[in-house]
Amino acid sequence: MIAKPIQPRRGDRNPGESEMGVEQVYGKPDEVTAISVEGFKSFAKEQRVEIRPLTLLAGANNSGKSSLLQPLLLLKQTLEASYDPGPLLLEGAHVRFSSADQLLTRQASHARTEFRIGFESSRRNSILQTFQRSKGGGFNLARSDLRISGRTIALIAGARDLPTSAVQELSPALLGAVEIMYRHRRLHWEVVRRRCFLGAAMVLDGQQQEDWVETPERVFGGLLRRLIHVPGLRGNPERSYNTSAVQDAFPGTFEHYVASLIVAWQGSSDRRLASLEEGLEALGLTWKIQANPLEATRVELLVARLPRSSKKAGGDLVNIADVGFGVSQALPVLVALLAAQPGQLVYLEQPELHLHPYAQQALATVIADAANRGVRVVAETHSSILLLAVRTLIVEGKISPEKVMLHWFQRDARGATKVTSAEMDKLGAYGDWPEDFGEVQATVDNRYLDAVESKVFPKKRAKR
Amino acid sequence: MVDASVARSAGWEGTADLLSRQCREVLEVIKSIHSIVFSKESLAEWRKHSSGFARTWLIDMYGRKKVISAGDIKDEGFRVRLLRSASSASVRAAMEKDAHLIEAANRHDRIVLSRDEAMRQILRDVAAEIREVAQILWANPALESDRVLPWLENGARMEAARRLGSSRSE
Repeated sequence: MIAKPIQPRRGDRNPGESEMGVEQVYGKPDEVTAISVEGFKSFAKEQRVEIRPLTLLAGANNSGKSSLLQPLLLLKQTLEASYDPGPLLLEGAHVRFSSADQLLTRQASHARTEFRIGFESSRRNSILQTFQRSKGGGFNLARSDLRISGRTIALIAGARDLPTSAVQELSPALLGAVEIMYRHRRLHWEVVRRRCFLGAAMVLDGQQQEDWVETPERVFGGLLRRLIHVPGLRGNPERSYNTSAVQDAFPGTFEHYVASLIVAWQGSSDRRLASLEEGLEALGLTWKIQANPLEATRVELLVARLPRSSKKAGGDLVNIADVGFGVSQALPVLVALLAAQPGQLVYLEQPELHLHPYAQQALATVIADAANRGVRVVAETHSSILLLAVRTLIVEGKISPEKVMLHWFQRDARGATKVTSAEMDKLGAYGDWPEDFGEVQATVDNRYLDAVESKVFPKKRAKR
Repeated sequence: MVDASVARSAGWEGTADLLSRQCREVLEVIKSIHSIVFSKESLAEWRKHSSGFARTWLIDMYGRKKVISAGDIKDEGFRVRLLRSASSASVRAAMEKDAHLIEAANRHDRIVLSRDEAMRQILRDVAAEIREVAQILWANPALESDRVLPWLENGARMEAARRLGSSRSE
């Protein structure tokens, strides 16, 4: 007879269930502070990218900006799957791959067979996962290098005699209890996989004990589950939206939760509804938004037809499908920034999509407000206006330069991504930079001015 | 120091002329391998007169940490001597307006890029008696004979012939 665990199994949450409880015990929530990638798509060599409360990813198309966050999204969708998809769910809500080759860096010299992804957190914990291509066309999780509470541990897939010290790092309380309970039995630990994590499973008298498996998911799983992903393709505006559960974790992409969050904020007189309307008005999109539950499964979103509030326009609401794309595309961005808790990572792909330049500069303030609240915002952007507006907010003292990080993505002649990172100073300056939007603007300006001048002042033909 | 006259010429709006390309090329070289010094007055003039192109350029220069503030540059002794040397009221007014260029340049690399040939001549006329003016290197990006672009590309060395006090610069 095997005794049941003496503590709750923290690794067995339902998809989407929050880890906030664990964080409340520790006080300040844990936060993702750096991401590292190697061998994944265009990241041929290891690149480590620091994540600050406001992290901007810039660079040309296909320079690798999206690829930086894709590994985290792969892990997230693997954890969120309703079944065990193996160590990596390649085709899910966040990213879609159909074969291992699409993930691995292509190199002329040799075929790469593994990639590494990892991240670090504000509690100085880190995880580095090594995935190897399997014969079946997918991936095996070959190795986990962990740093938890200042101690390092390496878990190798298939290892059959894990040192007790390694188990102690994963779960000191578990080990203590087990050693007391089973001190007269033959006991050792083996490395097993649970979703995208390797962990330690107890083997008692030659039998692996399914109830006694400890993985680092308690440390790292919450950071992944709570990641909010606002994708670049956020869907067409609809007449009505499906209802969804409203918690502090949002499985799948975020746009599915927007309507139900607004319903919830309306029902509880949540201050965030007013903040949302202020944000939409600052962007020049609309000044009022209202969610009407139509039935148990659908919600209709109505918005004021005019961008600015006026007494006369009190009831002038129209369906969101009847106004420009700007509202429906900006709405998930604004709602995500307001819904996110301090420490939660919000990944915004092209937050400026469909927005007029005026709205793009106003968006910088909304993003900075979230970062100042403690949310970790990672924004992948092509907007020089957004970038300049963030610099301006720094100079105006509305966000501290220490909270902002700028990463510029480039590909070398072989196609490998190189990331140049820069901190801003209090004048919003970033120093040496490989290329920037201003340079592009200057080139475009120059081309236009040269063309105009050649027409207005044509060069005299040389006499023969 | 780069005078606002260069910034104004760098774009097509305002004073459209054939020289704007030269001014733009000069600004691009400065962005790439040099820095710019501003006095409070010169920056205000830049902001007031610069073209859209020059504004974008200035934002980039700030981003690259290549803008140097001249700080408190006013040199009362120099100003008194400079204004006393004026041959007429109009020359005195012009000197008063641009004295900050000389003061700021003297605090840094003593280089002034300007399209203002009238002021260059005024300053040349008094260079013999005012040392602070004589040692200034004055170059006009729009003047073919000044060959400003290759000079900047080669590091903007302090060539004696380019100084206001040089007899060869006249």
